[in-house]
Amino acid sequence: MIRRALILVAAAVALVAVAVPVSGALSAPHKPPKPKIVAVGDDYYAPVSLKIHKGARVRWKWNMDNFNTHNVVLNKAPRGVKKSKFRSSTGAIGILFVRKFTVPGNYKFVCTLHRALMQMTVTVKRPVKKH
Amino acid sequence: MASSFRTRYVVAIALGAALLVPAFATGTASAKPKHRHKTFVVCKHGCKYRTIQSAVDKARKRDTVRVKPGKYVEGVLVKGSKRNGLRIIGTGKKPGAVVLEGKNAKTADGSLANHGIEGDGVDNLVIKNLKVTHYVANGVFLHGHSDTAKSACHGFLMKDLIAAFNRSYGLFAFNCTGGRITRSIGYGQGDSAWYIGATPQQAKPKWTSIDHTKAYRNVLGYSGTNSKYVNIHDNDFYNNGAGVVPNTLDSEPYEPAGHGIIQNNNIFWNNFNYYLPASNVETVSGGLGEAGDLELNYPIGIGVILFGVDGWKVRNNKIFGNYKWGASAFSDPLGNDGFDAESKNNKFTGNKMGRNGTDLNGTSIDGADFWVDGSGSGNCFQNNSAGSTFDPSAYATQANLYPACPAPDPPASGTGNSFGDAEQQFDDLINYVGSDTTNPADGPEQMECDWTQHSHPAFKGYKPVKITPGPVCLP
Repeated sequence: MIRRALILVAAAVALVAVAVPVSGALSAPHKPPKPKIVAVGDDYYAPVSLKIHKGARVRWKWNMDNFNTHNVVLNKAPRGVKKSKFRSSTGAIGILFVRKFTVPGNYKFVCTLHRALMQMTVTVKRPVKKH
Repeated sequence: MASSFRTRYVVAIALGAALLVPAFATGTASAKPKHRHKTFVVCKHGCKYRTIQSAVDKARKRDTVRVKPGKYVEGVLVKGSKRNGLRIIGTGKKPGAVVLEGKNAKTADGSLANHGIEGDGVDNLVIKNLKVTHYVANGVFLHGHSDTAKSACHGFLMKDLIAAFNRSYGLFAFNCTGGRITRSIGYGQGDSAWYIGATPQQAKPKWTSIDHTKAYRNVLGYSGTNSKYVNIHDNDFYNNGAGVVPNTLDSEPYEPAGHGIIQNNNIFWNNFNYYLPASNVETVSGGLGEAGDLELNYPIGIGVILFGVDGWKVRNNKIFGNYKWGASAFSDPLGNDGFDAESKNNKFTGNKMGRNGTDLNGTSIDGADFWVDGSGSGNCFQNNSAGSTFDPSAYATQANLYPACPAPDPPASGTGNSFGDAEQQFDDLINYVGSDTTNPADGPEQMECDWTQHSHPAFKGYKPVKITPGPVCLP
């Protein structure tokens, strides 16, 4: 009786052991794709245009040898997007600025200190409708 | 009907009058300030506010943030017109008692704190009696509103400050109209101690004053790209790489630099060779660009450089002991977009050069009290101290290169044609500031190899800077 019970327990444990990784693999949160990187340099963004899918992220990365001070400020945006959500701090190096784009359309950014030289566009594609 | 109309009319007027009374009352009430100006006290222990930022976040127009002595490792952002007139004041007996420290300072989002204090679109901001040091960008940085193209930050006051060893600038105002930097000390900056730049053109200019300051051991004492309406007076600029350098560059808005005054300053011993390995200051700039195989570096050994500026007055200064040139004016040697970085309409008058012959400028190859590249027009020289020296050219007459004021009409005052007849002057400049990119031993520190150095008589108790060991000079 005890042996049978042990066998049942062992079987149950084995089942759980098999099931956990499988179900774990199935339910693991979908790892978001790495953000697209935009370099912020003296006095440029690179690249100056970017096409991404809805829900993708963009990270602006300040070059470590920058001399001048820069920022990233949303100048024109699709309807319904709050511009104030897309405004970095202003500095030369070491600034973290990552944003997720959930509304399709064209986003135009400028460095407000170097408007003539530093402009860029992020185009967020509309998701393709499935029939 | 008529009676009824009249009755209603009278009632309406009465009602209107009755309504007007509270309206006036409200008007009277609203004339009083809605906001009683508050004072927020910050200290490390025992205060409600332990960081300057937390107090600034609570503050509104014309409030005061009083900061007690201590070290504050943070970067402070003062944002928006709702904080116009805010005063941030250190309460120590000396500016060094309240230190804003940039080493390990982070902002709320985990970014490096780039500035000790940043004013973003704030007018009449007052910052007094504290020290800003070791920031990866600037000690204090005031700029126009980052949300709009509109300039703000006019009427600032930066007083009794120390800016030390900030990576770019000490006290920096960008796209502001009018303000004052006074009674402050700046040293160890990777670019300039003081900077006023990107000044918008103004029909009725608001001037900025920089006065009664000391700037030493910086790459530059004063720099201002596209700097305008600045009166730089009664300061000491010494022991910098170069002393006072307004300039015009494409990289910043509102070209060119114009309408500035440099007067009654002591500008001396600007021979700081920060390019040497033993220097504890290094330039943050990548230089002035390349010409063929030559990389053009920021020059050292010069008191005043007017770099592509229009309408500056350099007058009544004492300029001495700068090994290359006492004062100079030249256009952008590489040209620029629109060719507006052109040296023109600048006046050098009444300056006392070389301290009565006891501490000469220009004791170097092609050195002199005054040097121009021969480009541009309208530059002139008058009533500078007797015996002042002017670097000659074999291709242009002294009268053309250094005419008396008022300058004759172009092109007689210079060549009127950048670098045309004055090619020799251009070569002087390029040979001095250029490093051969094909020869690693030809670094910018080699500029010192052109100098004939001499001892300097004492002045105000200051000591001249000398980095040792010096350069290994190329044959």
